[in-house]
Formats: sequence, C-alpha cells, structure tokens
Amino acid sequence: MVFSSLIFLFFFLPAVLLCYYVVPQRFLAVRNGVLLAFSLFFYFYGEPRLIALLFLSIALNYFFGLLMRSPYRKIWLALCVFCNVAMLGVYKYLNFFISTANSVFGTSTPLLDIVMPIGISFYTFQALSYVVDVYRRQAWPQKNPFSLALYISMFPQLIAGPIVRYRDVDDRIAQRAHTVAGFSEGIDRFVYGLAKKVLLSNVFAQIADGIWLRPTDELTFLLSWFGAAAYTLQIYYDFSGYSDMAIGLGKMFGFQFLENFNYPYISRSVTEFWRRWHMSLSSWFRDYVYIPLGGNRCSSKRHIFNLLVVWGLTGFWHGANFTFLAWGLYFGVLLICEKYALAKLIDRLPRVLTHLYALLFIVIGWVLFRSDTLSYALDYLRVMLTPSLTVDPQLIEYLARFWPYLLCGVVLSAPIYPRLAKRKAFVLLSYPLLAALLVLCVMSLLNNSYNPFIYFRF
Amino acid sequence: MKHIIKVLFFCGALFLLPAVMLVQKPADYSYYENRALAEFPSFNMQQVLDGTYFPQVETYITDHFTERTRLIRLNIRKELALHNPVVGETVVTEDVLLPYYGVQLDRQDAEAMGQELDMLDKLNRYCGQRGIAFLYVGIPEQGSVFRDRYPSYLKDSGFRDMSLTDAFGDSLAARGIDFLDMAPYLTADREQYYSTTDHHFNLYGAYETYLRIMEYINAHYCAAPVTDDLTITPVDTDFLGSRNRQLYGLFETDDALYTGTLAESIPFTREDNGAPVDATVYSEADRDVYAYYMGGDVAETIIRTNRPALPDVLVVGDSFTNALETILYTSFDEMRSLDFRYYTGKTIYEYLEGYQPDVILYVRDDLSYLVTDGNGDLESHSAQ
Repeated sequence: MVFSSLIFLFFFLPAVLLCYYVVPQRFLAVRNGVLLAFSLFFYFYGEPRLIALLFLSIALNYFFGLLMRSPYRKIWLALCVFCNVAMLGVYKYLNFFISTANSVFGTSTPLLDIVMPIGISFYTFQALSYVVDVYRRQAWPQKNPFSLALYISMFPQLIAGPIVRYRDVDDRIAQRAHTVAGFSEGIDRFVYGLAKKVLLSNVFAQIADGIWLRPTDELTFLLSWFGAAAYTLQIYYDFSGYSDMAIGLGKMFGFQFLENFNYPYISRSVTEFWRRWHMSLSSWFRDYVYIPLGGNRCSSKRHIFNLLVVWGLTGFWHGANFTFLAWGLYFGVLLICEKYALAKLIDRLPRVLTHLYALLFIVIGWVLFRSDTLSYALDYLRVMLTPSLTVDPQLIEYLARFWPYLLCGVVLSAPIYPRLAKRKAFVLLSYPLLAALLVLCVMSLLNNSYNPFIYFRF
Repeated sequence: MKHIIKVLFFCGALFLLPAVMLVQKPADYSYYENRALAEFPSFNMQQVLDGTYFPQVETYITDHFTERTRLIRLNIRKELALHNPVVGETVVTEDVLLPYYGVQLDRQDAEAMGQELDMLDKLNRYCGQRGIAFLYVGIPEQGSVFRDRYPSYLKDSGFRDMSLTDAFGDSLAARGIDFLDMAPYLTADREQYYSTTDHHFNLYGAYETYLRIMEYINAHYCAAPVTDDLTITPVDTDFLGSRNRQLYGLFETDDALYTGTLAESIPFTREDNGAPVDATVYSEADRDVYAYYMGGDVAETIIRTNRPALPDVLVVGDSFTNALETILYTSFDEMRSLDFRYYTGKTIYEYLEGYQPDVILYVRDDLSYLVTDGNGDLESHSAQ
C-alpha cells in the first residue's frame, strides 16, 4: 500500500484514525495496540508472506535488546549485527553476489528465487539502531515487545523512512500529547507531501523515464541534461514528499519524527548537500559506522578510508547494483576532495558559482543512481559532456507539455514555503490551497492507476 | 479554532467520500472508457498470500470512487485549460484529435512483417486453389492521414514507427497478393473522408472504399452490382469520437456521425454469432458513437439478402469493416464478417471448409499491417 493511493487515503487512513481516536487518551497502551495492528496490516497488505521476516526481525531485536544488559553484551551485539546484516544480505544482496561471482569466475551458479521484502533496508536499520543505542546505554531496553514492535513497524515510516532513532521516540511511545494543533500541522505536512509526490514527482518521472528509455546513441547533449535534471527533480519530490507524508502522519498520532530533507538543492557544496539530503540515513551511517570506525579522529589516511567505507556502504544500501556502489563512492571522493582541498576555495567563491558547482556534481551523481548499468551511466555521461546545440523534438515536447510543473519544481526546490508560511496572507490562503491540492491529487490519482515510490523497494 | 476547522474538513473528506462510495449502487460500465468496471473481488486466501487480491480491491476502488467521472473530467478540463498539447494518450490540436504514442521502443519488425506475409501468402494460395478471390484492402488510419497536423516536435516522437509500411504494400504485390491501397483515394480529400475526433474514417470514407472495392472486384473477379444511390446525411446527435471519448467529450468539435439511406432498400436477414438479430445495419442505441455502424465489433455476422445470382463475400478485419459493411451487403447475396479478435472456434481454413465465398476482403488499417495477433493471426483460433 502506498500513501499516494485512494485505498490508503480514503480507507486505511480514516479507519486507523477512527479506531485510534475512539480509544480514550488515558488508554494510550490500547491506542498503541491499534496503531501496531494497523501497521502490521499495512505491511501485510504489501508483503503477505514476508511479514514473517518482519516478525522475526522484531523478535530477534527484542531479545537482543534485553541481552544488552548482560555481561556478554559485546558478543550479543556482534551476533545481533550479524543476524540483521545477514537478513539484509540474503534478501537484498545474495543474488547480486552470485551473479557477480558468476561474471568474475565464469561460473553459472543459479540465482535464488528470492524477493526482496518491502522496506527491509529501513526496518533493519531501525532495529539495529535500537539495539546499538541500548548497548551504548543511550536508551533503556524495551521490555514491552509490543512497544518495540510499534517502533520498528509503525506504518508512517516503515516502508521508506525516515529512519527513526529509538531514543527519539521511546518516551513518546509511553507518553505523548495529542493536540488539535499538532494534528493540524500533520495535515499540512501530509497534504503538501502528497502533492509533491502526485502532482510533481510523477510528472518528472514521465519525463525522466521517457528520456532514459532511449538508447544513449539517440540522445543529444541538451536532452541528456534535461533528462538528468528531470530525474534530479523527480527523486527529490518523490522522496521528500514521502518523508513529508510520514512526518505528517506521525504528527497525527502524536509523534515528532525528525526532518529528513532540508532543501538540498540550494547547497553550495557536496558536503552541505549531504547535510540536507536524507538526513536520517547519513546520520545513521555517521553514528553507527563512521564514528565507530574512528570518524575524523585519526590519521588522514584512516579518515579517508573511513569516508570511503561509509560512502561505499551508503551507496550500496540503496541497491544491489554496481551503479549504487559507484554513486556512493563518487560522493565519498567528492567529500574527501572538499574536505582536504576545496573547502577554503568554496568559502571564498561567490554563492552562484558554488551553487552551480554543487548542482553540477549532484546531477551527475543522479545519472549514476538512475542508470541500470555502469556502462549505460558512462555512455549517458559521455553524451552530457559532449556539447552540441542540436535540439531533440522530445525536449520541445516535454517543455511544451510540462512547463508549469517544471517551473513549480524548480521554484519550490528553494525554501520559498518557509518564508511564505510566516505571512498572514498565506496563512489565510493555506486553507483553500490545501483543499485544492487534495482535490488535484485525487483527480490525478483517478487518472493514473499506479504510482509507486522510488524508495519502495529499498 | 482555525485548527479545528481544518481538522474537521480534512477528516470530513476522508470519511465522507468513501462512505458515499460504499452507500451508492456501483455502476457496472463506464461510458467514456467503453469498458466494464471492476467488480469487487471475492475473498480468496491464496490470492491474498500471493499478493494479487489487494490490487483487485484497489482497482475496484479506483473504478467506483465517489464522483469519479466528474473528477476525471475536471482533470481533463484542467489539462485542456493549460493548453497541454497531449492529454492522456491524445494529441490536442486546434481542430483534430490525434493519437499519442510517446517514446517508440517498438520499431516495426521485419520478422513480424515476414510472418504476416507468409500467413497471407498461404491463405492467398489456398483461395486460389479453391477459386476464391482474395483482396487485401489497406486503409490509412486517421492519425496517418492527419500526420502533418501534429505539432512539429511531435511528428516523430508522437506517432508510431511506420518505416516498414510502404515496404509491406510492395511485398504483398511481390507475393502475388492483390492489394487495394486506399491511401491515394482517401487522402485526396481527408476532411471529407475522415473523422477529426475518431480514429476511423467516416461514412463518406467507407463509401469511397466500398466504391473502389467494387470497382476492383468487377474489374478483376466477378460481376457484382454497385450501389451508387446512397444518400449520406449527418445523424442528429452529437458525435463522440473515440479520441474525444478519451477526453470525456470535452473537446469542442463539429465532427459528425453519418448515416446512409438507400434509394431502394434491400431486404435482408441478419445473424450475429449464430443467433438471429434485428435486420438493421445501424444501431439506434449507439447513435452517438462509431458502434452505430453494425452495432460495433461482432465476432461473426451473417447478412443474407436472398439474391442467389449475386456473389458471396467474406469480410475479415477490425472495426474499420463496420462502416464499410453497412453498404457492402447491398452488392452480395450473402455477406459474412469475421473479427478474429473475438471469433474463436475455427481458423480461417476451418471456417472456409464450411463456407466458400466468391471473394474474401481482408480489411486492415495501416497501423495494423504488421500486427500478428487478433485479425493478424487467422490460424490460431481453433476450438480447444
């Protein structure tokens, strides 16, 4: 089930809200039970068989959490990490390793009939963060298995994040305020997120998919850049839209999830970009991989090694493909260059130039991310780096068809909304705007039958 | 207070719309989409476990959502108001609606062409051995005829790949298959012969095709009377062409549906799929759509005029045959029509064992020349 579907908007969401709020506030445990039941149904809807894996993950991490108070907690932690990584490794990466080994060694080991469960990357990382936080004594072990199950499987962030840290929500599981103002804020975030996904991201997806379908020898310089730009907008509005919806839904149930995106395309450097993009993932890798490896409190060589490991893993987390690994390492190298060579220069240069510099490398990165194979990515980039003024009719077509959406997409990628939200006139207009956006989204959903999130299979 | 109002409105919409949907009697047919709407799937645990049940539920909800038609029309109005040149799968120009095919991955396939030619060659030889004349009638589809009306940037990216279409016509001739290419005749006056909002020709185009077919038959095969006293007049209802149907009729047009009146009517009987039906070639229930002609696509139609001195004809093809048949029957003793998209139980050869016409007219629009299923496959419809 995706948030941007009629069944979620008009059946699942009203049902969970009704069942949740019909329970009096003082019975918070019952409300948590309702939320847990609906969350498990939400997952079952998309993964009727592999929900067993979610249950296994919850059970394993529950017991490992309790064992973090034992004298042998280091061993239990190692075992916990092994079990979680193994689960992720088998379901997400095993076939990739088999096919890579076949290519390298000339073997023909058959691939296994494995389907990657929806959201496994997210809930595995959340579960790991819980156990590690307990190990580090940054959180108490959760003795109530249902509370832990709720943390891991809560439907607003189960499928595509943000990756919520246990210590950020554990007190709210036990006690949280439900206010009309909070619910109202949740509505705002949810509807704006829905509009980002349905009205903007899906349109940019049409453009990007249409261009990426073509063989690279048919692409022109301008069209290739246009396709890359379209994908740059698509992935931002898709993912940030989903995060907005998740945060909005969390607010409706009294939870405050941390922000996941902070207008990343206004960044002046790649370093700044990664402080604004998918913040929950980058902070997870910082806290659970980078710092344990030594972070930057070590020699330069070790620091560079740590960065490459973290960014290689970050890329690889996104998918079992060399393109994702290359994407991660690409940013790792850029970050190292900025850290050790370019930082001062970036500070001195005019904003416009540094902004263009950052955008250039971000967009190139997305080409790696979007491509199915490294060879396609390299061919695509070759076209992008071979200037030509030839105008492909497909470029004119997309501009003629989608210029309003492109305009909105570019403008709204800057922090226009936070500035507007402070103005009284906007506050008054926001009510009809929200209503109009909701109606437009429903109209669009009725017109289109299927619109999965990009991160749905992560 | 403002928060309370917002919450009430939001929750009100969330609860009210599905409630209305559940209370309303569900429709079973969508007029504008010309299809049956989904039925609520019966619960099936196996389908739940293999993940196919819930998508059916979603389809049902999408098909029956409250005010669905109104909301879709509103969306189309929005796109038309924004002057979007492509709305759905339709290119919207000033006065003509055209098909949009998008990025062409499927180039016309030489192998498919070869396959089709082999099938036709075999059928042509079979007919020749049995004294049956076989004529391939090629009709340009509306999008082909008005291709120059595409915006310049959509001329290639909007339309289907037709790189092998010309070669196909030449290949038919090379294999000794009689080919009547209607393109030169119908493109000579496309505004007269074609609908601007439907993918078919209109009745004028069908009549011109009929005249050229009869000219060919009389010149090469056998004598058959030609109906030259047909009066064509517009039907007195708004015409909803197939392309305008995709736009929910929101494209303003003076495009019309036409009806033909014979100076002297010819009595006939009619059977559809083996059962007698009203002896009419115009469906009054469909006075606003192309299905007005012959009642739309039927697997098998038999019209008998009880004039044994005249030849018999078998027509094979898609919906382009429908308008043609409203006139064609007048020149034959018996006219049979097969649409292999729906006809099952016999291959063309098995069918011809039981019915031997004097002429077979194989009618295809130019976008379907290389299509190897449906009416492009006459040999795979045998009874199981």
